Amino acid sequence: MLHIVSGLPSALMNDSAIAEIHAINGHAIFDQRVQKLFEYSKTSIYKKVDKLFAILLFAEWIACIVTAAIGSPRAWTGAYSHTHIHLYAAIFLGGAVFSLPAILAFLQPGKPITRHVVAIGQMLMSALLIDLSGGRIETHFHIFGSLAFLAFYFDWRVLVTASLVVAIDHFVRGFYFPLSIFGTNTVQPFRWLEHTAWVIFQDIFLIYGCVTITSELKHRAARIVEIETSREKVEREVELRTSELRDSEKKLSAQHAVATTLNNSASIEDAAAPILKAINGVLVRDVVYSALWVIDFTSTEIICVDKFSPIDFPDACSKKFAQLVLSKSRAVELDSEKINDLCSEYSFKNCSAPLSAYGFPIMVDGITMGIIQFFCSSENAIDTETGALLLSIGQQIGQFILHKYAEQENQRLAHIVRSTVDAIIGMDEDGKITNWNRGAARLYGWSNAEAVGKHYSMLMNSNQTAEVKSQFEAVRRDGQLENQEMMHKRRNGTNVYVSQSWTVISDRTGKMSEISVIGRDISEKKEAEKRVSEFYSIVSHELRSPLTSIRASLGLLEAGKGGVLTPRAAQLVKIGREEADRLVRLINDILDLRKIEAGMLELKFEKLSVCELIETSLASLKSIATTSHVEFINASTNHEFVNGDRDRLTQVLVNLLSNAVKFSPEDSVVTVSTEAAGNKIRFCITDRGIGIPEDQMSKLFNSFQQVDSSDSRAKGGTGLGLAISKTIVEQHGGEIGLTTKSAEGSTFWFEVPLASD
Amino acid sequence: MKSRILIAAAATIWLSICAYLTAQLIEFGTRPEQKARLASAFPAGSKLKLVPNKFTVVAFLHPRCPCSKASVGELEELMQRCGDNTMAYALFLKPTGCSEKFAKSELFEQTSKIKGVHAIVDKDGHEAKIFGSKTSGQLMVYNPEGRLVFSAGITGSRGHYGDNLGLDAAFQSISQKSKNFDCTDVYGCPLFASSDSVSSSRR
Repeated sequence: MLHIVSGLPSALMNDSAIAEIHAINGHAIFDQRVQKLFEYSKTSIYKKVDKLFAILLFAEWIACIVTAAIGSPRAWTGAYSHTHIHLYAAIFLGGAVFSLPAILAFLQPGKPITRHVVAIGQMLMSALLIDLSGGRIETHFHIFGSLAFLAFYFDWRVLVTASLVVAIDHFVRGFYFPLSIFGTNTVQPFRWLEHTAWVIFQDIFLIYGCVTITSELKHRAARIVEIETSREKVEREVELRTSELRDSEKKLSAQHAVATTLNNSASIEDAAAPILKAINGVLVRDVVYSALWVIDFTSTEIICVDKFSPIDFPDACSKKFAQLVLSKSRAVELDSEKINDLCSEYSFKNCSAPLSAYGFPIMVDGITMGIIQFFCSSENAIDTETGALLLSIGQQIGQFILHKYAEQENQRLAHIVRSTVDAIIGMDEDGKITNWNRGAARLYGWSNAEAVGKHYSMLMNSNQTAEVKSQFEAVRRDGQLENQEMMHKRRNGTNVYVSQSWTVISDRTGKMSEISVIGRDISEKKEAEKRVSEFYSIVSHELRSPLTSIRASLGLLEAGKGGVLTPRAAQLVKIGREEADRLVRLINDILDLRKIEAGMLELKFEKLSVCELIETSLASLKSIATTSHVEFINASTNHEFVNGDRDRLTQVLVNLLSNAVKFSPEDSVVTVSTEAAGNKIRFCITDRGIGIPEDQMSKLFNSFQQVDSSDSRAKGGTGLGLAISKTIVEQHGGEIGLTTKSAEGSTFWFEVPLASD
Repeated sequence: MKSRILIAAAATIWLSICAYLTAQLIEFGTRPEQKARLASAFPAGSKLKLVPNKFTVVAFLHPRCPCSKASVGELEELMQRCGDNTMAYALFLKPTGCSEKFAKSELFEQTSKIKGVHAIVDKDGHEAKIFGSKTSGQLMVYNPEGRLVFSAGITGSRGHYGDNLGLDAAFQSISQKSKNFDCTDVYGCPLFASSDSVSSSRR
C-alpha cells in the first residue's frame, strides 16, 4: 500500500491534512489498480489475438500452399514441366513468414515485439498471397482485411508497423521491380505513396477505433475497480459485521449459559463449575486456570468455590490474586511481569507461567461478594467489551448469591414465624387476613386455610367494632401500635386476652402494603394481675384495718389511757407501737407502689409554696431528728411556688429527709436547700453520712432496693421509698437523682416545675 | 534482456530470410522469356485467316502454364476495350506426342467463351513456329491489311493480372493504329524446349 506520509510525524499534521493525504493515497491506489486492470485486460487481449494470428497465419500458409498447388503447381516448357517456383515459395517463404510470429505467439504472448512481428508476418503473408494469386485485385483485399484483423489488438502502433511494411514493400518494389507491382517500368517516383495512402486511409479509422476502444477499456477497468472496491468494502463490512455477530452470539450464548445455570442452581457451589465452563475458551481465550471465589461473611474469609485447572497451578497464587482484586473492588488485569511479582514465592515449575491474569469482582450495590479470575497462556486474552460483559456476569452472580442469602434468611425467618408461639397475622390495608401462622392457629383455633381471606374483625366481639376501627386508624396514622391489650374471641367462642403490636409494612414506594400483627396470649398475666389486685385488697382492708386498730390501742396504752404501765411494760408497748407504725408505713408504701404500677396514682395539682412544703416536712420529722441527734438546717430562701400534689411532694421530701436522718451520724446536720433550674426548682437534701458506692447508685431507685439491706433494715427502711419518690417526681414532670462522695455524705435532689403565674 | 536480444536477433534473421525469399520470388516473376521473331506481315503459310476490316489478334498460349491464365485475362480485357473491330485467335499449344486433351484444358474452354476470340489447338506448335512465337503469352496484332502492328506480352510479370504497359500498347496499336513492337517482355512458359535435354518430367 502506498503510504506517502510514512516519513512525517503525525503530530505535525492536522486532521484535515491527514484526511486529504488518505484521500490522495486512496486515489493513487485506485489509479494503480485501474492501470493494473487495464494493462491486464490489454495483455489478455494481446495474448488472445497473438494466438489467433498464429492460427490465422498457419491457415494462410496452408492457403498459400493450396493456392500454389492448384493455381501454379508446375512450370512448363513445351511438353515438359517441373515444379513451379510458386509452390516452393508457398511452402518455404510462407513457412518462414509463419514461423517467427507463431513461435513468439506461444513463447512471448502479449509482448509488444510479438504483435509487431505478427503484423509484419501478416503483411508479408498478404504479399505472398497476392503474388501467388497473380496479383488479382481480390487478393489485395487481404491487406485491408489483415489491417482490420490487426486492429483486434486495439494497439494502433501495430497498424503503423503493418502499414510501414506495405509502404516499404511498395517503395522497394517500385524502386527495384516496378513492373511486379505497377505493371510498368516507368512509374512516377511517388506512386507507392498512392497505394500507401489507401492503407493510411483505412488506418485512420482503425486507429480511431483502437484509441476509442482502448479508452473504453480503461473506463471499463475503472468501473470494474469501482465495483471491486465497493464489493471489497461490502465484503469487509459483511465480514466485520459477521465477526461481530459471531462474537456477540458467543457472548450471548455464554451469558445465557451463565444465566440458565444460575437459574437452575440451588447454590453458588452448584453453579460455579458450569459458569467457569461456559466462560472458559468462549469469552476468555487460552485459559490455564480459572476460579470462582466467594466471601464467607461469617468469617470474612475468601473461599474458592470451584476452579478449573487442567495444569498443576499453584492455588496460593490464585488466592493472592483474588485477595488483590478483593482489596481493589474493581476489575484487575495483570501482565506476566506483575504475575511474577505477585506470585514470586510460588513456583510454576509444573506449568509455564501464565502471560496474563484477569480478576473481576462479583459485586452488588457496591459490595464485593466474590471474585471470578482467569489466568491465561496468552496476552490480551480479554478485550474491553468482554471485560464489561464479565463484570456484568459478576453482577449476575452477585445477585444470585444475594438472592440465595435472602432465600436462606427468608426460610429462617419463615421457620421462626411458623414455629413461634406468638400469633403472627398479616393483613391487607382493609383488614383482610393474608398470613396466619401456627401460633395464631393455636391461639385462636382457626387453621391457616380457614383464617386467610377472612376479615380481622372475626376475632372481635360484636361490641368491639369501634375499638377495631380506631386501631386501624391509629396504625395507619402512626405506622405502629405497641402493647395493645385486647380481648379476642376464639373459634370455640371463648375469650382470650391478647397483647398486640401492630406494624405497617410498606412497599418500595413507601405505600402501605400490609399490616403485621404480633399477638401474645396474656390471659395468665391478666389472671395474675387479678390475683395481685385481690391480694392488695386483702392487704388494704383485711390487714391494714386491724393493724390500725392495734396501733391505736398501743398508742393509747403508751399514753397511759389504760392505766400506769410498769417501765418494763411501757417499753414493750412502745416497741409494739413502733413496729406497728413501721408495718403501717410498709403497707402504705406497698399500696402506693401498687397504685403507681397500676397507673392508679392520682395527683391533685395545686399551687404550692416551696417554703411551706419544706417547713411542713421538717416539722413532721422534728421528733425523729431530735431522737437521732441530727439537726435540720433549712437553707432555702426560695419563696416561689411549684405546681404539684401537696401530700405527694411532702411524701417525697419526708422520705428523702428521713433517709438522710437515718444515715447521718449523731450530732451531724441535714441541710435542705433549693435552687432554680430553668423553669423548675431543685430541692436538695444533704447529709454527712458515709456516702453511697457508685456501683449501687443505679439500682437505688428500684423497688425493694437498698444500699445495704442489713444496715437499712437496722434503720427501719422498706426499700420502697426511693422507688415511690422517683415515680411521684416523674409524674410531676420532674427528675430525681443524687450526688455522693464516699465518707463525705450524699445529696439527694429532685426537680419539679414551677407554678405558672 | 538476453531474451530481448535473442528475439531481436531472431526477428532480424527472420526478416532477412523473408526479404530474400520474397526478392527471389519477385525476380522470378519479372524474369522475361524469349520474344518472338518478328514478321512484318501476316504469314502466308498460316492456316489462320485474316478477318476483313478487322484487326486480327494472335495469342500463343501454353495450355498448362500458370501464367497463361493472366494472359487470357488480359486478352479478354483487350477484347472488351477494342470491341467489334478486332478478332482474336488464341492458339493453345499441343506439343508433339501429347493428346488433344492436353491442349483443351479448362483454360481453353474458358478462352473459347470470350467474345471475339477463337480458341484453337495448335498441333505440334505448327502455327507458333510459323509466327515465330517462343513463349506462352506472346501476343501479335495485325491490322486489316495484314501488317503487324503489335508484338509483345500483355502481363506485367509472370502470371500477374492488372494494368500493364503491354496491354495498353496493344490497345493503342488497334485504336490509334500505332505500331508497337517488343515494347514489353513476354512472361510465360517456353513453348518449345531449347534442346532435348530437359530434366523435368514429361506430362
